[in-house]
Amino acid sequence: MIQAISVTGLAVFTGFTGLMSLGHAAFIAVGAYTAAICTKTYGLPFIAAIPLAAIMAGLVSLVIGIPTLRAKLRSDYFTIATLGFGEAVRVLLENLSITNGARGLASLTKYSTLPRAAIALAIVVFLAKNFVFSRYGRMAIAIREDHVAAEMAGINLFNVRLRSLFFSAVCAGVGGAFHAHYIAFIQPNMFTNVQSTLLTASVVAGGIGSLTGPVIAALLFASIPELLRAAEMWRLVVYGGVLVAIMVLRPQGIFGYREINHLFRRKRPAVVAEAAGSSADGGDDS
Amino acid sequence: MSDYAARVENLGKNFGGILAAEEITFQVREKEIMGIIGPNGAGKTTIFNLMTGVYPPTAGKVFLGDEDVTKLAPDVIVKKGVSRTFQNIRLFKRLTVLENVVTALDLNYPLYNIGEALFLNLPFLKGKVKRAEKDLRDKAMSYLDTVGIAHLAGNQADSLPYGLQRKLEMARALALEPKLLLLDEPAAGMNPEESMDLARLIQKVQKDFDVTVLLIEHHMDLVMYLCHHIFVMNFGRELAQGSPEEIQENPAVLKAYLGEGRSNG
Ligand SMILES: Nc1ncnc2c1ncn2[C@@H]1O[C@H](COP(=O)(O)OP(=O)(O)O)[C@@H](O)[C@H]1O
Ligand SMILES: [Mg+2]
Repeated sequence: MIQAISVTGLAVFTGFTGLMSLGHAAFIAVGAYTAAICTKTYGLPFIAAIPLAAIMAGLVSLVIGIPTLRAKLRSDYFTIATLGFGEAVRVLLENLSITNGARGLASLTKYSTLPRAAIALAIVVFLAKNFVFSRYGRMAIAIREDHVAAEMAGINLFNVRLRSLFFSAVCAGVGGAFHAHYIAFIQPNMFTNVQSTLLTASVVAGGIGSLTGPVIAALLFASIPELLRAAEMWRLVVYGGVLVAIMVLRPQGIFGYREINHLFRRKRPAVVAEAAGSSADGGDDS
Repeated sequence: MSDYAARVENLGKNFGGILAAEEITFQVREKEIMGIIGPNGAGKTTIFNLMTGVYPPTAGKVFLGDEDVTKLAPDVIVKKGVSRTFQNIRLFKRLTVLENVVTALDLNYPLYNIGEALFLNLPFLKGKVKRAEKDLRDKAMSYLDTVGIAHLAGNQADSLPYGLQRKLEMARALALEPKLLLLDEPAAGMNPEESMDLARLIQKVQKDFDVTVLLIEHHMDLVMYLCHHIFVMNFGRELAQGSPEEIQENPAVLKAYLGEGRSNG
């Protein structure tokens, strides 16, 4: 559930701008630490810590986003840059005193209850949906589809990509805040590149260019290891196996370029109906 | 105010040793239809790429009106009133035909901001965002109508046959409300009849939208019918320029074309 909050953000970024990030655990970490420090050190209520965590993660995303996106790095170089960034943030957390170094922050209050996480996920998905199906999402998709044509349509690649990255980092920050107050204890080594890779795996398996797909994949993936907890050692093997199977059977992901409600209809319904001149409105608030 | 919609001066481009363009100078007069012709590899598309900021020239300058736009990025040049189509079609493939045009409308019609997009789009608050999106779709439809593909609005862009994809590119370029429209081989793959239909469409578009057109084409009948002024390139250099009549009688042009063994491309 908590993982799904972060995955939603990453789904917006990777799925709708076409850039792959392997450093998103860093944004979760920033959110987790910010929220933890807010509640533990400053005694702020959890509800106030969440937006602060979100904003902090967003600001940190600008640190990596501005130089790399301005340089218009090729997408594979961008991915490598995020990988390095993820490590850098982790090392930083290990060496700062406010984060209590490698020992981390312990005995946090367990504010993250299931209903609260569910509400947060619903809000994040709602915002992500609005983002993706707005002019901002459309510009991001245009860049994903053909960045030369997008630029020739007057779209500023840097602005759009940075905005998407910021949005996804904010989601990850919220996810981090919930994560910290769920397990009540955080350490830098919880936020490794393996974590980032698992997030990206959810997006890819759920379907690039879809929102509901990655969210469902994240929920599934989060439950698989839980179910297999007994067979600790086989957990990641099964996990990897599932991923490989998805990639082979459905390379576009479970819901590639589609939303779950679209599976039951032929084409993009709202657009087609109105394009045909019918005034029938609505039916597209999924 | 300059009489020229655009001009290029001594434009040159060197791709790691390949001189794709060298000492190219021409003017595009306001509201005229001008053609660039020449064999494959002559450097025609390169000129478009230099004019639209896809990459910077290694020499020379590009002007729009009186303004030097040589070093500007594509999205900035678009804002100054230049739009184009691509020889190797570049649509937003997985978007619908209509959405391709809507995307381009954003430049001149950014109808709502990020806050409204994120928070105002509630099912029970069918306000500004919904209305704006509807307006954009209606407007986009009118551009599809212009090029004659309105009935395909809901189809995925890459499902159209190539000829129609080129028309969709034209609709998308027009939606940017350009002053100067660059068309890179708009009639590629069309038979003579279709290409003359397209010629009439381009003529109509030029009048109705009051634009200046610069086009690259191999169909000589289309070029001779449409263009007031023709620029001929060969091996990255100017071979000739002038009126259609002058070009048809120019010995250098005849030699280049006949020497290559091609009648009319
Ligand atoms: N991006 C590029 N990198 C390297 N060489 C290029 C590039 N674009 C074009 N060229 C070369 O420049 C020359 C002119 O190409 P182009 O402008 O596409 O010709 P045309 O449009 O007249 O057919 C060709 O030799 C082509 O290989
Ligand atoms: Mg060409």
